[in-house]
Amino acid sequence: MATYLEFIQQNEERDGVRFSWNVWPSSRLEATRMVVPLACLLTPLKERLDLPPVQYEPVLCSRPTCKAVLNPLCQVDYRAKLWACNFCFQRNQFPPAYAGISEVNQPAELMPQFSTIEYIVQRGPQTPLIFLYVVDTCLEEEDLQALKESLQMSLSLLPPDALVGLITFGRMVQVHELSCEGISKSYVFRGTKDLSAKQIQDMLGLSRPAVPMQPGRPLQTPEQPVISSRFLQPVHKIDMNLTDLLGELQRDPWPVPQGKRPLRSTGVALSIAVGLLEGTFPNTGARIMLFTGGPPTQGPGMVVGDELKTPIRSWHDIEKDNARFMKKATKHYETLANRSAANGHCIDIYACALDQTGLLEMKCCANLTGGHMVMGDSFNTSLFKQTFQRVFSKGYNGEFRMAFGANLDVKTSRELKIAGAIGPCISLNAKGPCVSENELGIGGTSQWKICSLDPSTTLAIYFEVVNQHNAPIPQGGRGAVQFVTQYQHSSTQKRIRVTTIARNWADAQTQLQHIEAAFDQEAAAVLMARLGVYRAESEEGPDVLRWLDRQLIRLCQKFGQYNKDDPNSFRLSESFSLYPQFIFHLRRSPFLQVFNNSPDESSYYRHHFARQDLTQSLIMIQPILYAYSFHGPPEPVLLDSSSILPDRILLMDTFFQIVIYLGETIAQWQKAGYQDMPEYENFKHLLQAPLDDAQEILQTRFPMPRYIHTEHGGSQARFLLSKVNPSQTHNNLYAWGQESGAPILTDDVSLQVFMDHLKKLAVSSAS
Amino acid sequence: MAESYVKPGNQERGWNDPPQFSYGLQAQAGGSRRTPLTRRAAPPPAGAPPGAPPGPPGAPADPAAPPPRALGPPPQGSAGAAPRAEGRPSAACPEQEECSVSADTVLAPLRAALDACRAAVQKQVCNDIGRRLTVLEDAWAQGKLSAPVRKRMSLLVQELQQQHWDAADEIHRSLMVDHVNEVSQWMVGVKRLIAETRDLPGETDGSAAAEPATEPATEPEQEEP
Repeated sequence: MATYLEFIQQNEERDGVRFSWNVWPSSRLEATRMVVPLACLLTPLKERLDLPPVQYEPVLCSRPTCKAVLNPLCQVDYRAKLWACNFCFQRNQFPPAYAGISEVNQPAELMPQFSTIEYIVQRGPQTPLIFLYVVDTCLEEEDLQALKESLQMSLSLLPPDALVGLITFGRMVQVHELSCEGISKSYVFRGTKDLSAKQIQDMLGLSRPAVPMQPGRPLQTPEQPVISSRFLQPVHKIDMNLTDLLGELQRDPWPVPQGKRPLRSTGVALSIAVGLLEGTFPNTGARIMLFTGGPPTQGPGMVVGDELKTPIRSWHDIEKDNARFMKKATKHYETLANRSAANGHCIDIYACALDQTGLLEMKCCANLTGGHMVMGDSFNTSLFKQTFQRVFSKGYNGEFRMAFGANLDVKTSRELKIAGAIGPCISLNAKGPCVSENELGIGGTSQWKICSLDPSTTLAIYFEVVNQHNAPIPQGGRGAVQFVTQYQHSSTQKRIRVTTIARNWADAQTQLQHIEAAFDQEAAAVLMARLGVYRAESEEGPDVLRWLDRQLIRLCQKFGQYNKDDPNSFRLSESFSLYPQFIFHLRRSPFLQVFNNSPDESSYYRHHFARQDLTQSLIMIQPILYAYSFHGPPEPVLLDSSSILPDRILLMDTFFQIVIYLGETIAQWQKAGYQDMPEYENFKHLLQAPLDDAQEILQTRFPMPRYIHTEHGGSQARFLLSKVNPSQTHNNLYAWGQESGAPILTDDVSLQVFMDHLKKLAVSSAS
Repeated sequence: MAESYVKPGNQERGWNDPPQFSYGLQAQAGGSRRTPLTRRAAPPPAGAPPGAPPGPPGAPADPAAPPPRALGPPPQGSAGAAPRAEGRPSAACPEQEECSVSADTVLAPLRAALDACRAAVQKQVCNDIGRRLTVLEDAWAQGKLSAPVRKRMSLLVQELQQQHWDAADEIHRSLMVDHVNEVSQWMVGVKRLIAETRDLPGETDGSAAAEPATEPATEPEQEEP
């Protein structure tokens, strides 16, 4: 049984794939009875330190409806130089370059250890990356100064060949013409009137295209003019002028009367940015980076009026249908997001304000294009500054981690179809034999586009088994899936990452124990969670919870061992044992509970949940808790109120927050100053240990988490108390006769009560 | 060469603002992306009384007794290393050191490099760089630059003189990230100077005579972009 954990781990490390089931039920009927759909989490650009890319084009199957890439699962006839596609069984001739291959001289793509392989292809011109800054000037002086400095700093972090542009907005929208000559010019637009793409392009004088590019010829000869436009110039040419221009930016000059919000035309500013890039550089990697310090208050896309006495919509308002601007604004940003994604451009949102900024309405801009969403309190905070720096972070080999314009194509063997994907992508509407009619997530396609991604971006892909019940198990007994991701590397090279995996089929009637043993509860929890959060966007909260509960009960009924109507007899095998706990914490998480969060905060949390890899997603669902004490080395402890003890320091990681909590005794010792006395040096070390561990996480995570240092009785302790399982509350304080841990003042159901109810429902013959 | 330090976040502007790491610390952490703390405790076996702690080694000695009112001191001892969950060294503390580099040791080579560029680079660009070097000179003379900035500028100039373009570039980046408010006005000029000097034709096309003596007449170690 334990070997499946290793198998799962190895596969994830090599291929960046985790399946909910690793032995597949061989018929459609049995697959639906499994409750958890057959699905996987795929990290297309998983960081592989040991995978050098190969410098040639992939070999494709010649059948036009297939075009699968040559992979280790293909049968090869080395003498006749033929290979058989494992997806469509077409026999293909190897290209002439493969004349020398043999059993002892295999090309890399046929070797089993290269189930994941990356190709560098020299196709088409290499266009530079583009960064278009869209900057809100309705900020406080201190914030604007900090933002300006961050933008100036970023010019040193950009790739030198990249093109950069600047649009500023407040009541009006200004598109700055970047030139190396003295006088800086800009085009000013009213912030109240939306313009079509064509109007924007005409008004900016973009009707004739920028320096035309000749397809097929790489732009490396010095005689070729550098691609640019008046509004987007290479960093290495324009950095000094742009630094000055940024330094001279002033706050929006329009005075803001008492009791009013500044007039902020975010909707038109973004519209112009999208139109500008559409007209000058379609179909190349670009980031539109929106920096905003408050909600849009005028023009299309406005989220709230300018009267401060009318607050911005809350969840309560939305439930009561009292959010007057929401539908129209959301539609405006959705249109922009779709246009931008169609052009391969991503939209980042960096929103720093104490009140909401309209992330709920603008979230599609980041979610559909793969752009970032960063939420902070002020541009003059370490959280914003360092998170922004990390956008330009480089990997182990000194190359930027960001990648652009990914096109993910999924192929399956005949017994499987693709139901859909959930993640930061849009559908490319690619119909074909692999596409299922039943949709889960973004369905109706076998191809998706991710305009911006990095080595941690992870998609959830859902499949459907289509084999008829009682049909024989397919030849060879294994099903296969191939993931082909074409993308633009940060060096502007075009690359193709191909991952091909296979898993055994099994007859669920006779071999259920094998299917059970190969269940990946962690992947299943995240995959179900993504489905739940996807539903929560369009359904009522309680309905989603009911659906989640129903699935959990059905799973327990199917895979639990029990005697009917005897809850105490209920047992789950090891491969399912943690799953109910994950679902319990998921139900309480901010992804499904909007209470105590603003609509913007909920959108922010959900945005990050829908794109992180499995480990980080699990941390978000069920935070990690480590305990530090004198009684032994640091160790993980249960996320439970009983873990909160006076002589311990706890470190909790929820992904969005790092919480360090000093137990009561520790806090008293610290107050007494023992850490400053030389004979109590080990106490000083104890206090320092969680700080050092927290630092590891703080140094690398994107976005940077909040950092909460609190103690027993502190108001910030609520972050810890609200996350732990409240096994002890004011209701059951004396129930067990042993005082341990801290009671949580809540009426929330504890895991124990949850499990009791679950067992009762699972074993009941009435369900 | 870059500093390694951690400063607290801006608690006045952002609640629970995380600490600020220097460029040096962030760059060195860039390699490993694993979250170090990912283990979870095993749940109590089914059937065990829920709510009971899973036998932590530090269970109170006498659970029935009330907690002591008088707080005893923590266990004594100077344990060797900090008990970290993952055994990694702590970050260095910020160093407060004196810097006695004179402005001229930094500015003279920079101006010399600028002169070397005048032949090949547009006049406007050279003037712009020159203007910014003057801003740097003034800031230095008025004592507006902190010790770390002055120290690292002298290192940058040394790297530039030895034609270690990437190293010089890296120092400029670390200064931009860590001290943007001090350097933003003029650092872009230094950045441009490094880039233009790097791109200079070099001795192969016979313009060696135009280069001043401060540029060593050896093959540049780095590849030209």
